[in-house]
Amino acid sequence: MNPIYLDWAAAAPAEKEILDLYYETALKVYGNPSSKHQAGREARELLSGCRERLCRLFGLKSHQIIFTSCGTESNCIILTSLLPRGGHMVTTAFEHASLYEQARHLEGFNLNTSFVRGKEGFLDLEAFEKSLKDNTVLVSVMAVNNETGTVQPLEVIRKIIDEKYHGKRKPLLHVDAVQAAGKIPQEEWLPWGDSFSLSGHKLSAPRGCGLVLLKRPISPLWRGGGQEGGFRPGTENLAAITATTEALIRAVEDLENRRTLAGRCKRLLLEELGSLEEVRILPSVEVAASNRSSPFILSLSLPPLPSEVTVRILSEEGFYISAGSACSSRKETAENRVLSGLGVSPDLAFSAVRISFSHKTTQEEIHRFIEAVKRSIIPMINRLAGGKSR
Amino acid sequence: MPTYLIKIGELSLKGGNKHIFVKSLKWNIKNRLKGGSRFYGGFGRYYLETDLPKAMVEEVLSCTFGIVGFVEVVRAEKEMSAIQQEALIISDQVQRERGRSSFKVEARRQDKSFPLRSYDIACALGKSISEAFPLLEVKVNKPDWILSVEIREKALIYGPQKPGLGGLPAGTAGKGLLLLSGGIDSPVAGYLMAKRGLGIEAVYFHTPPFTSQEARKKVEDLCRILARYIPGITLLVVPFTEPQLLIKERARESETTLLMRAGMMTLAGELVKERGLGALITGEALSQVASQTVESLRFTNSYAEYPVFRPCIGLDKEEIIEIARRIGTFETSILPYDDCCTLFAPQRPMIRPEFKKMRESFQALNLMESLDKAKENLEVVSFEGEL
Repeated sequence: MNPIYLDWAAAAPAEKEILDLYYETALKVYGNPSSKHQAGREARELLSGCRERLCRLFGLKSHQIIFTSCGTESNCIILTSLLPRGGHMVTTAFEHASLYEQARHLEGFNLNTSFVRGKEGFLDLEAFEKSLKDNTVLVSVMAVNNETGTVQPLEVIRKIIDEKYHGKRKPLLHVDAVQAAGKIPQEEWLPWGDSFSLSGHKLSAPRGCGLVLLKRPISPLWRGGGQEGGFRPGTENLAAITATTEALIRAVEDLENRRTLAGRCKRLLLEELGSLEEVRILPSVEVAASNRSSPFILSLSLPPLPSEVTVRILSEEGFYISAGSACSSRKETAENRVLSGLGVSPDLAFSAVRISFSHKTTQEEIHRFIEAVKRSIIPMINRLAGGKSR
Repeated sequence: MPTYLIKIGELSLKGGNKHIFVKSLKWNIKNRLKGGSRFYGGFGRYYLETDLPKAMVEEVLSCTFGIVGFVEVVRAEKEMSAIQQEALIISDQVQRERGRSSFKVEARRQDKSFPLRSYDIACALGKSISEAFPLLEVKVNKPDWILSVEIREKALIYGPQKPGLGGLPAGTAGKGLLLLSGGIDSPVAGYLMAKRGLGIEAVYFHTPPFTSQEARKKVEDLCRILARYIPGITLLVVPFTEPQLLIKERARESETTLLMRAGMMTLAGELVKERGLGALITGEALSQVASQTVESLRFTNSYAEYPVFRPCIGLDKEEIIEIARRIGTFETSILPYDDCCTLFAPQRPMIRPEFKKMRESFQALNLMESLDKAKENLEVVSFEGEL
């Protein structure tokens, strides 16, 4: 039987039509968009065509759309832009590594960062408000957490910033929207941030293209050939840009349908697995079932099995899911930073796995997955729980 | 054909049994080189004649136990001019490698028809070498290196020897079963016992899905590295998940590690018996972890009917690491793939078990059936030393 892929939040399998578009573009529109000849002009026109389509999609101006190579690069462009002037930055303890590790790295320069923790899957707003300082130049909060799928309260965060800095220069609000774009309604993230990071391959485009949406200008650290308005110098990856543009537009236009289909899968999982006493839904059944959580992601914990062991057992059975944390050695318990940053207890975080799906995931596949969990994971948990007392 | 002089050190002390050791050594070298070579000699001086590439031959000679040193020997016509020419080529090479150094020439004249006496040969060559190479200085007492000349049916000339590993030829002490975990200590233990002439088979207790394929591959990679010194090393991969789960289910948590070790010893002992081996080898070092205290070792040792060799028992971790680095296993051993899932590691393992009580605990586990089944399902993998 074919393996069942339930790790869409890590990478979405490519879609043939999108890949064909990539291939055709790479083959036929080979000119460098900066070249002055006919081939260059064709490439330039295609590039600006893509930008225009995305302008309409997001309601932005063309200079506000910057093509990059991936979500990580998009985050780095924003963060490193702070380097020359320095100051204070506020982000969360549960950001994606591309933001969290970059922020930690920049602490070694002239940027101080406050990492605000979460509670029950969401940013602790009280602690957030307290962390804002007079010299805060950047606030960075992800729209959808990549492990739990919880949708962060960006509207409230915006409000807190606006009130706190009323009449003063406001810090830039950057939003890592990699798990949000094309997956949750735009009104939940796009109106509230000043800049956003997006990635194409989470939506079945080939790897190699991300985006920065920039509503408020920044001065980038890098310099080069002036491409992308100087924000991201380097020859444009036109084939990947074309494919990503198409994938994004399709996802946004088909959003409600896709959410409904994914939501059915998630509901089925919640009903069937959430009712088992061996299974703990993260951060809670209520949150996971609500619209405060992405319909494409479900996080659950299967104590005492280490995440990695659960992933391995299911992989053997032909189901590909993702480990919340690495199975640690006996020497040290490697902490799951993201989940613990969201207020999940260490024991549950240790056994957490992520299931992520798409509109293409079928109910049948989910049924088979649930069967596999009941057949291979639950008995193992019960066996392990049957040991003598300490 | 290029010829290598091989010195065998301790082997020459083995009196009446010496021919057995030499035969093993010869077999080990020829087997590793896979033909195309001739091994001969006696009285502590052995020669290997081979057409195989120099790097390959030197790899084999530097990794074969029982060899103290070796050097490539150059043949020349029995004329002083020819001998001198070769001596200068060798000296040039030594000066490039070592810079300033002291040397002496040792000459032996087996063919008494050669017109110069040994002493005269040495003086003449010493003079011409030190004149040609200003960094090389003659020093008769404790020189850095020796240029040797032997006048036989041809003139044989050779420079400083390259070091060998010493020890005794593999297999001359029988065969033992190494409990190989993937950590730092057990590959070192296997190496040290192989050095004393023990042939090695290894056993790895694999517990999928609690340990990963990467952990198993790590153990296989360690065998691949050990095969440099122990060509043809066999790895027995025993599926140990079921016994481990039974221990988890049936035992007190603090006793689980010790009981698991006892289970492994029992099973390894059975394998020794079945496969006609003579001993067990472990990487245990006294008091390094809870299962390696005197009391713990007394308990686990009681399940072995064969001698258990623990060559690391008196070594500090740093000393073990130093050997692991030298033999090339360290970098692989520290890869982060654990040989035991944290799920089975007790929070507070027992350090000073009561012998009788622990024996009773093991008895009560009723593990034999699952151990037999694990043994039946083992996989055998062999590793040739890659050249």
